[in-house]
Amino acid sequence: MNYETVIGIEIHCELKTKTKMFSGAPVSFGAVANSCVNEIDLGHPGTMPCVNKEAVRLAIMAATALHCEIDPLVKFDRKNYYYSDLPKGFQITQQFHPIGSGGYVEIETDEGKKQIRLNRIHMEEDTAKQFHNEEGTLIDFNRAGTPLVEIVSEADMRSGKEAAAYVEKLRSILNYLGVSDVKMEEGSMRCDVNISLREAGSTVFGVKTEIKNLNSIANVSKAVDYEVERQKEILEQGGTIIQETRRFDEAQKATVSMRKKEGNVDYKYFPEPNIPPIRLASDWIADIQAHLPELPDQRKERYQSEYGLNDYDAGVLVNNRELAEFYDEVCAHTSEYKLAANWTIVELTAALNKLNVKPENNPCNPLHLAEMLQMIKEGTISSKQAKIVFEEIMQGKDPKQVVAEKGMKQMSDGNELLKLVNEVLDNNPKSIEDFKNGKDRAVGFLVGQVMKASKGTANPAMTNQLIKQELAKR
Amino acid sequence: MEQMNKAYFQKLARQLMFDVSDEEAEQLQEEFEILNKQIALLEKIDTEHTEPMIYPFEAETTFLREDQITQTISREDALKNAKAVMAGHVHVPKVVK
Repeated sequence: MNYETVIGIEIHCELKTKTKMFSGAPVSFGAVANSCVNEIDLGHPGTMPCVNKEAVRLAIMAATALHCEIDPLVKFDRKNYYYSDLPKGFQITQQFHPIGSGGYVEIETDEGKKQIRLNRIHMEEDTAKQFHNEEGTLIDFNRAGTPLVEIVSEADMRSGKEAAAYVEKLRSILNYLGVSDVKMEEGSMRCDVNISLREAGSTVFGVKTEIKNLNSIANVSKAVDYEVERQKEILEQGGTIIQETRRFDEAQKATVSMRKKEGNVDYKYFPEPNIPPIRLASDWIADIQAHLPELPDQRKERYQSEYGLNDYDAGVLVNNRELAEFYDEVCAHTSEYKLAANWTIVELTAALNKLNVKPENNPCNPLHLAEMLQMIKEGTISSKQAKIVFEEIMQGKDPKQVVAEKGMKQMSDGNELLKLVNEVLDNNPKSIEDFKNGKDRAVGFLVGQVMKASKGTANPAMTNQLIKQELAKR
Repeated sequence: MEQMNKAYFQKLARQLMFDVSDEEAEQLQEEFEILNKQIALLEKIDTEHTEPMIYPFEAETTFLREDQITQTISREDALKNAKAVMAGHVHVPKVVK
């Protein structure tokens, strides 16, 4: 039978605020356990939640960038469940009135662009972090109450590749907006994937499984591919899929069962009585929406239209915000946009890998790289020499100083070079003869000889041109 | 609606993971009988054209808190109410596999 894969994704993102969603306690990743909490986070009796303005602002930014419709009346609800990660016995969330509804994320697929529709984006609070060991469960309440947005897609994805593209695009958008750290490995962005199969052409959903614990985009695609095969095998043998929560086990490269879902859990949602509805000022919302930072798609478009980059190069730069920002800084000092893109994508990336440095800690001064590119353009140094200069730039050196110290100036003086060219020609009568017999390769050999005689300082383009000019005279 | 008898309260107690004695279950049953009678009185009121209320005051608010750190309690205080503490964490029995 032919199966169609149906995938929907829920993403939780921690918002980059100084304090919690409903309390003035600090938000801090990696702080000493239970040192960033107050009575509200711990759910002590008599405490009252108070909504963080910055969290609402960041949620509006995200909702706007994702093309959602904003609800200007903020309401919260209680989701009731009994578990040790939740000190109050309920989570404050937005079940009935999400801040953003609808919207979409556009991804690139093999068949072109595709819009993944969103169901909603809502605000809520994070739970405490738990560590399970042999002796029991240890709870750190620092994370309890951290502001989150949950972004829920429609079941519009059809493969592991599409699922990974969706998560990657969403991560990039939220990263450019600066609303979240979006670090999947640290858990500031967490992704739950719902997967089911159905007969191709059917409009009814099959039984789904939910996969948790996906800590990288690569794992999203691997986990989905594995799960699709697992479900297909069961269905083909006439079995039925059990609705359950599974997690991706990196070592086994497989999804393994965590818990069965016996019917729908009743969370007994009801409106949060301690937070009356809050009307957001329409001019405040409009102001936030009018000042969104440049988004990845807009930046890619700008790189192509303003800097003349091709689709691929623009895409590579935009995929890494830090790299793109560095590139923009280089372009502020030079108009060699394409050269700057090549050096950023190829040489800089290679150098960072070699130094084992992340792009956000890039030691290269963009002004220095721009100056070096200018030297290449003006023929002061050759591309070969530039590689040596670049190594020094990565150590913090000024390219002008490097060129001076190493006596690197490229020979671009026409008279000097002409003299050298004629010396080489005089010493290589055989090559002149070859050339006259139609062997164009002889030119390459002669250029090489001039390079050698100049100890690599001859300007290759000028040398080439002078050799052809002088050969014609002989 | 289930009958609010002794067995019902014992079942609820089990679900919420606390112990309830026979005597307490009986007492709960008696109290809830009184409550149910009072609720039955409320049910006689005609609410045909009345919208349900969620908040005592239906006026919308506008206040949002500025994102400034205001109040943190010490780690010692945070852990004071915990029955067991291990390595600065609240220590509870494990309920997941």
